[in-house]
Amino acid sequence: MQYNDSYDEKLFSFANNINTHEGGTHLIGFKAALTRTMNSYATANNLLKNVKVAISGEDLREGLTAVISVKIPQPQFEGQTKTKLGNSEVKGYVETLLNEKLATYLEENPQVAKRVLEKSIDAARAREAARKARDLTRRKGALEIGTLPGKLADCQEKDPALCELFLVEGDSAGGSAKQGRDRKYQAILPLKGKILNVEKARFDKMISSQEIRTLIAALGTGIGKDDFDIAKLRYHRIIVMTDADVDGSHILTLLLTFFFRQMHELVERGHLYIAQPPLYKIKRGKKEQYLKNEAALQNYLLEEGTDNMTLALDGGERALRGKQIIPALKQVTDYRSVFDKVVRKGLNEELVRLLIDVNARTGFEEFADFAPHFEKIKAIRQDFDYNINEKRATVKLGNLHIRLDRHSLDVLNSHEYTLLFENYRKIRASLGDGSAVISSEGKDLLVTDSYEEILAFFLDTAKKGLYIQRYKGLGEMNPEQLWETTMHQDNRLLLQVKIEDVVEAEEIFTVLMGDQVEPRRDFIEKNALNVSNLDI
Amino acid sequence: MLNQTNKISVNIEDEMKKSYMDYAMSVIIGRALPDVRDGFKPVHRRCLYAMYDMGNDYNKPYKKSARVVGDVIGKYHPHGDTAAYDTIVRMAQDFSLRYPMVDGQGNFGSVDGDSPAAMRYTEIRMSKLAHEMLADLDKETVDMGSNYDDSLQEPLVLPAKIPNLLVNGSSGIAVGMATNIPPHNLGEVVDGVVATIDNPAITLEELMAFIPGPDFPTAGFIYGRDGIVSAYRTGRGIIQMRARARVEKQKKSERESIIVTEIPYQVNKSRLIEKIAELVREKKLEGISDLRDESDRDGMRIVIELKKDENPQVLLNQLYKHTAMQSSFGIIMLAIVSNRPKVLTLKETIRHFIDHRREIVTRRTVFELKKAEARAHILEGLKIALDWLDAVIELIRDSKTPAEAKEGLMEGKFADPAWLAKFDLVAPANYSGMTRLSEIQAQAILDMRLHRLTGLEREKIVDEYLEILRFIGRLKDILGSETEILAIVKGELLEIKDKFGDPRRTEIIAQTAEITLEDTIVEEDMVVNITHTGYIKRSAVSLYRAQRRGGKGKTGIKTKDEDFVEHLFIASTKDYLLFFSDAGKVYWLKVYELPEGGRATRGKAIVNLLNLSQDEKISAILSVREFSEDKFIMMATRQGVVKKTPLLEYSHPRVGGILAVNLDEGDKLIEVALTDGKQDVLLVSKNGKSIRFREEDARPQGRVTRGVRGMTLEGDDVVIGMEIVNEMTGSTIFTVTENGFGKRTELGEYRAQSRGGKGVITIKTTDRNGCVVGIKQVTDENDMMLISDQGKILRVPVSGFSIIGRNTQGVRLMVTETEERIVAVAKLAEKDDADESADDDSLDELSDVELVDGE
Repeated sequence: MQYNDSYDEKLFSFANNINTHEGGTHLIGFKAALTRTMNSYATANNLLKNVKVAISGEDLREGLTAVISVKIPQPQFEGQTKTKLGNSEVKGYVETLLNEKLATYLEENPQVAKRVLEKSIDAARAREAARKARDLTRRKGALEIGTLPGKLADCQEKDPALCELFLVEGDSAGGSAKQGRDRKYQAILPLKGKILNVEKARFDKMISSQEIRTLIAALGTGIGKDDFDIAKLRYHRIIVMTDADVDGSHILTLLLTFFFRQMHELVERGHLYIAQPPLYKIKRGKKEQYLKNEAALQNYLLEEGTDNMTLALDGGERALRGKQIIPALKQVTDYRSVFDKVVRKGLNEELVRLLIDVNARTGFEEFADFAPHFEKIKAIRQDFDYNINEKRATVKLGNLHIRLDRHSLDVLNSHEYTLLFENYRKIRASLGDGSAVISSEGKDLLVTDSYEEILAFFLDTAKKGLYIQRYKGLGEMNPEQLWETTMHQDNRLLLQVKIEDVVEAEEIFTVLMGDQVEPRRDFIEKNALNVSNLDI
Repeated sequence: MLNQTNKISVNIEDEMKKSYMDYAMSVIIGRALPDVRDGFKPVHRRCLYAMYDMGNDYNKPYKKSARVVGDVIGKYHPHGDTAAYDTIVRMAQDFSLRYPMVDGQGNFGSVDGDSPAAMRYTEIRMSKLAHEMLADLDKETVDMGSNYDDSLQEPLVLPAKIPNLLVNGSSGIAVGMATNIPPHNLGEVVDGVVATIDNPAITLEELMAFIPGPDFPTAGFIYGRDGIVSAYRTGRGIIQMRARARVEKQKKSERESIIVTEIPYQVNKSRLIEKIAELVREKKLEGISDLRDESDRDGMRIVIELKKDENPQVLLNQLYKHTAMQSSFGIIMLAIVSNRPKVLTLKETIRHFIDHRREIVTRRTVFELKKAEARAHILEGLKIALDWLDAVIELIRDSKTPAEAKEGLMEGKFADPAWLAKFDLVAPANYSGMTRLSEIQAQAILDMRLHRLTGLEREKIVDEYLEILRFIGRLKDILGSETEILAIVKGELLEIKDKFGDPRRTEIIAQTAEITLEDTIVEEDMVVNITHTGYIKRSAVSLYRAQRRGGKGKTGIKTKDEDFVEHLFIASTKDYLLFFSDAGKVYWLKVYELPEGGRATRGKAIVNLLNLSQDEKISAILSVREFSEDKFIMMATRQGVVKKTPLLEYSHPRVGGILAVNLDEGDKLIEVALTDGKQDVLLVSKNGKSIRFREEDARPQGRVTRGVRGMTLEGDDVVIGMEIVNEMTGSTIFTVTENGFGKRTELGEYRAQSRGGKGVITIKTTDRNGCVVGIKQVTDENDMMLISDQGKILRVPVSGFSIIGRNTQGVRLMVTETEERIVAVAKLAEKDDADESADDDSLDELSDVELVDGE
């Protein structure tokens, strides 16, 4: 007997030196003993602890080459070519002998035993996974379209090229989507909760997941190396529609992982889309409008807010009217967002403002040390004082005590801070030193000397009488609204998922969804400050 | 129609990154990790704030949990109701939080893992302590932020008079990181914080004098300081928690029971009991006769009844080893600092808390100052009005409308000399010129009630004014001085300690509690069987029941056909067995590590128990009770090298085995023996030479040495055997050759020579005899086993051969066929004199049949 790396089984049996290639009782005895002894050894030595599948004789014989030769006084051969041994007593002999000898061998050569059994367990797992995949496709193949999952609300159209499948997060959103869809060509499949992370799970575990099975069945393609058939895809647009919150983002990543890993071709052919439900609904009087995201809302507010307004600058020497004001305000908005990033890195807001202002007045300087900058501030602010020692600097600003360390200096020398400064300079160029008078139809409304107050004024004006609703979930929308904004072919915007660089995508999936924690943490740390949508 | 859809292409990689980072950062910053300042995750903060908002105070009636949950998820926390309710429930459980934040009415679950009653049944209100977390919230002490739909404001952090992060701990799994902070004793932490305020450069050692370690609500023990120190120094560490148990004598019987009264933190009691029961069922824990949970309203009490004569300490150790009665707590002090996750040391945690409190106190003082100044402003106006009382009254009476009166006051019309003259009034002595009032002051004067004009009330206003001026001065002093602020922070902390401090519950034991397997083993004598082909097992001595003389005997071990017992001895479970391999390595096994089996079992092959490399074979086995100093190990190799090494050198077992002797290339270790240093050594070579020398001749050497020459060999001769000889009466040397010949020779015939000689002839290796296969020192009672290369085994009693001279050929021991060779000789395991019954009937059978066919 000899095991090798291959997956074939080669058994040669002889009786009295005659090649019995049809086998016979000696071969049966051999197989029975092998199965029994191996299995009982494995059980006794706890090798099957984490194995859910039973190991069959076939698994044990994978990669086995063996010669069985018996010598018997009165051989009886069967079969047309007389190459099958028929003596029934031989089975017992072979079995008993092999049982005993093999058990002894395994006992005395544990390393070999372990290797062989590991191989067999792998074989058993592979067999089980293959069977499940087969079952899945077979069960589906029983009917014309396959047994579609009960949760799927299918469409009337049969031509896959015209059909769309919406994968919706949760039953509450599924309800809205079902009522709001065009049943002619739009199908809805609600997915419950977070689906399995297929990057971490083995194939057989993935196949056992109910949600994944439902999904595969609905798509109609089958799954796995051999059974996946893109031609059977029932919808040519698979549209992922999740809530606009962070859990929605998570579900999206899980779905992307599934499609990328298991239905690569589907993504490659551009069948996968991401729906863009609106984040805001704004209502003024009876007028309703949906806005996709934060930026759109900002734009809308600025346009509304500056309507009929005049912004007088530089003591009335310059004036911007209506839409002219918007570019400057956008600069302030940009400045604000960079400002938040810098502050998020752990610097005091008030201090950053002071530093930027001083820098803008006196020219930008590298932050080799705090002292020169603080000196400049001290020159214009009486309530400012500071104290620097080797390790840290302490700043007193009015009643505030701010502690700064090496990290703070890094932040001040970072790209963000430079950007912040640039933005500030741009604003200075367009809005002057900040002193401004805002008026409308000849009436002065606000006199101020702060850019941020100018921005705040226009935003507040815009918000007056405006009802803004931020959608947390798709379930919040009426079916009609969902149809209007997200599902209607004329209005909606879809993101088509493309793979530009397979290697890089591969790597991203491994890092983000794989079972190694270390690289993931590194990735998060590196990208922590580029987060656009922080939801607490 | 279909192609009208607007579509934009996105790269899967970018979409993945964006969505994943959104999720990851939100979970890290805003969901799973606590803020270093108040020790709360947003959900906790929102629950408490909602309760505060609806006036659900500790001294007001309870409110239905469902109402609170509704408020929490409706106003601040747009997630599922279970998330909010579970949070509230945990904050009410006195076994989860060291200092509960919620005072619950109804069933809030138990350490048995029972689920709490549904939220429509239970009622809650804030605990007294929770108020301290929220104190001064209305004084603009913390930043507020918009809730999820911009309709309400919620605090981004709580003022937190209590160092809650340390006191109640926290645990959570985010993405790529997790936190696990154990709870602490409030009084101790306050002392630690105060000490840090007093001495900002305090060292960890000094700090740990105040905060010796975590204090769990479930009490119990912590074993080992190292984990605590590591956690406090680096932010990460593992501590061992243990249940509190004591041994009680049963009243009636002799039996003892283990009583468990406290279990480790976060251990589910009913699951613990199930686990013990399961171990008993699976026979992994023996010696337990009964297991009851006698917990009641007086507290926890798990009774583990022992069988008679069981050693409770050993059993307790087994329980610690195999069940959650000893659990570890992996500390990761991860918290959010300035919107970033950070692993913190104890001192950093405390410093962040101090900074937070300083900010709160400062902001509160600023707020109070603003309020006091406003009040002072009003009082100032009132005082003016009182001073000018008559004029003011006239002014008001003279005015047509309240607005006119107000204007008059603001203009200070009443102090105009012209106007005064009109009413025949004079200005008060200490006033001159114009007096103007602010709008607020004027309004306050107009709002004043007439009774304030009584003498007493007027005095009061003046007093209050002076009082408030003093107060303002005091507030300004505070704001001007860092030390004042810190003194207030300190004072408030000590107040909290007085109010809520309680004695420590968890006991900390300095030494670690590494429970080795050894502690869980009962020391008892075992019979160890080792067969010639390397099967080994142990069985209880009691299995060898004493039989009467002439009894039939019992099988001690079931062997393969061609196998037999070579070693049989009694050893304690805690004795060591040393296995020497031919490659010169030594391996250890404790007797308890051997497979235990009944009499009729075969045992296990040694290869399964040791980490042998390929082709390595065991050449000798020694049983050692203790590594005493005066014992030596004598080794002999094929090339005639001997080495004597103190036994002590082998007293540090390692799983992978260690080198016992430095062998020359191609040499093999053939025999090892335990000596006392005063014996003689006899070496015999293949060609029939033998040498006997005094053990003293070989000086003791270290473990990894080559040894010294024991015998000088000629040509291709090799050493095949070594015996440690003592002049025991009747002891003879039994020599066997390849072709089945052999003899017995008196020990006295071998004279001691000096080490390293060529030796003398022990048997003539003629063509008839062939080479020597083995020698053994035997007595008349011994039986020998001869094994041929064809698998035949012959058992011969030694007494059957007469003793003949040294330089002879010997007699036929076994008839061999042509080409058949004897390959090994072994002494049958001695009959155990101490235990008459240790006979082996399979061996008796063997002796009846002279020749056993190996096939």
